[in-house]
Amino acid sequence: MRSVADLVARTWNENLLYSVMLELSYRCDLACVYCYNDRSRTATPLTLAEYERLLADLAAMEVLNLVLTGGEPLRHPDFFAIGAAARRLGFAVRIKTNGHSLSRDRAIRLRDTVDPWVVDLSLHGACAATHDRQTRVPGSFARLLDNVQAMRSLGLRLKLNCTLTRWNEGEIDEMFVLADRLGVPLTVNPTLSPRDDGDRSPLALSPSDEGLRRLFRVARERAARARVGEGTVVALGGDDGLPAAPPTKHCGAGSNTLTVDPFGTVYPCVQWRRPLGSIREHPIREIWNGSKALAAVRRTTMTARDSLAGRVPEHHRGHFCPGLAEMLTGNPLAMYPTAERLLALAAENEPTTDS
Amino acid sequence: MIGPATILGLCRDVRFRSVGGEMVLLSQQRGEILVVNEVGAHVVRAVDGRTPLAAVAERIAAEYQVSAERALADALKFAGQLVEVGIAEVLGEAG
Repeated sequence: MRSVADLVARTWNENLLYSVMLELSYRCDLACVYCYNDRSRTATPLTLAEYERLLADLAAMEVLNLVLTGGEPLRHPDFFAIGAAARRLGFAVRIKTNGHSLSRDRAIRLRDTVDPWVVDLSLHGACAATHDRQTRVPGSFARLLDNVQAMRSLGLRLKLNCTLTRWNEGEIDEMFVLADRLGVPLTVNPTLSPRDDGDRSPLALSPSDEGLRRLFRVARERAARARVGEGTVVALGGDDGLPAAPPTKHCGAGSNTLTVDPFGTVYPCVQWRRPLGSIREHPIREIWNGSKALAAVRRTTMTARDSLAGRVPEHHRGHFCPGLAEMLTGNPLAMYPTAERLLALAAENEPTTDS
Repeated sequence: MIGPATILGLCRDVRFRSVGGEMVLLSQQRGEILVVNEVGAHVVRAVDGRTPLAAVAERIAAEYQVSAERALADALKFAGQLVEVGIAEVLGEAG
C-alpha cells in the first residue's frame, strides 16, 4: 500500500516538484527582532501577470502545495488576486502570515477568495510582554488572539508556529497550553537563522541549552500523549506490490521544493539561498529541468545523506540544514555550531543510534 | 447506499494532482492526504458529477481487461472509500 511517506521519498528521489513557496513581499506590519528577510533589497517586484503565468506553469507541472509567505504576504497589493488564481488552478494553498491584519472581515475575504488549506500564524510567546517584545509592535499579541478566535469561528484551518528564542524559551509549556485553549496546533522551531544578507545578529537570540532541553522534553511528552498525529494519512487504491523506496537525499530542497523571492529569483528552499535562475529570464520548468546549479544542489543533498548516515540517527538528521550550513560556513556539507548543539541535546535521552 | 447508478462528485475542498504517475488527493477539511494508484486515479477522474459508477466500471473493464463484475465490485468499493474519507460525495442516482 502506498503511503504518503513513500510518495515524499519518491518526490525526493525522482525530482518531482511538489511544493513551491512564493515570498510575495518583504514588507511587514511587524518588526520581529530576528526576522531573516533582507528588507534592504531593492529590485522590481513580480507583477500580477508574472505571478499568473508562474502559477499556470506550476499547475502544468502538477505542483500541489503552494505556500504564500513574505515578509507578510497580505501586504502584497495583489495578494487576494494571486490567492484567487491559486485556488482556481487547484493548488492546496498555505498562507504563512503573522495574522496581524487578519481581522474578521479580511478573514472572511480570505476564506471565500482563497479557501486556503491552512493558515500558519506566528506566535512569539505566551503573554503580551514576550510576544510584543519580539514583534516590536505593542498590542500585537492581543490582536493575534482576537484574530485567531475570529478565524476559528469562520472555519479557517489554523496552525501556530513559534521560533524558540532566549526571550520565549521560558514559556514553552504555557505556549502549548495557550494553543490548546485556542484549539490550534503549535509547532516550535528550535533554530534561528542569519538574515538573508548574511547578518548574523539574529543568532544572538538563540535559545539556551536549557531552553532546548525543555523543548525536547515537552515535545516528547506531547508526542507520547498524542493518539492521532496532525494530518492523518490514508492510502487507497490497493497494493501496487512495490517496496517503499528509502529516500536517497537528506532533504527535498531543490528535489521536490523550490522558493521564489518577490523579484523572481528561484532558490532550492527558503533556507538555502543559492540562486538557481530567474523566472524573468527562464520559465520555471526550464530552471527545474535544466539548471546546473540545481543539479549540484540535488547532488549535495545526496552527499549530505551519505555523510550523516552512521553518525546521526535518522530521526535527528533534520536538525542539520545544508542551506544553513552554506550560509554559515560556505560549505553546505559542513557541520555548524547550531546543528552540532541541537544534535547533541536531542541525543541526550536517546543512547541508542541507528544508521 | 452506493450502487451502480450512483453519481458522485468531488467535494469542493478537495485538491489533487498527478505526481509521478500516482494521484495525490488532499481533503483540506479533514486534513487527509490520499495516494491512489493508476486505477484509482481513473475512478477519481470519472467522478465528474454526471457519470454513474456502472459506466465508470465499464471503462475500467475495457481499459484494464478485467471482467465487468470485478470492475464494478472494485469501483463500488473504492467509491465507498472516497465518500467515507471526504473526497467524494453522492450527488444522486442515474435514470
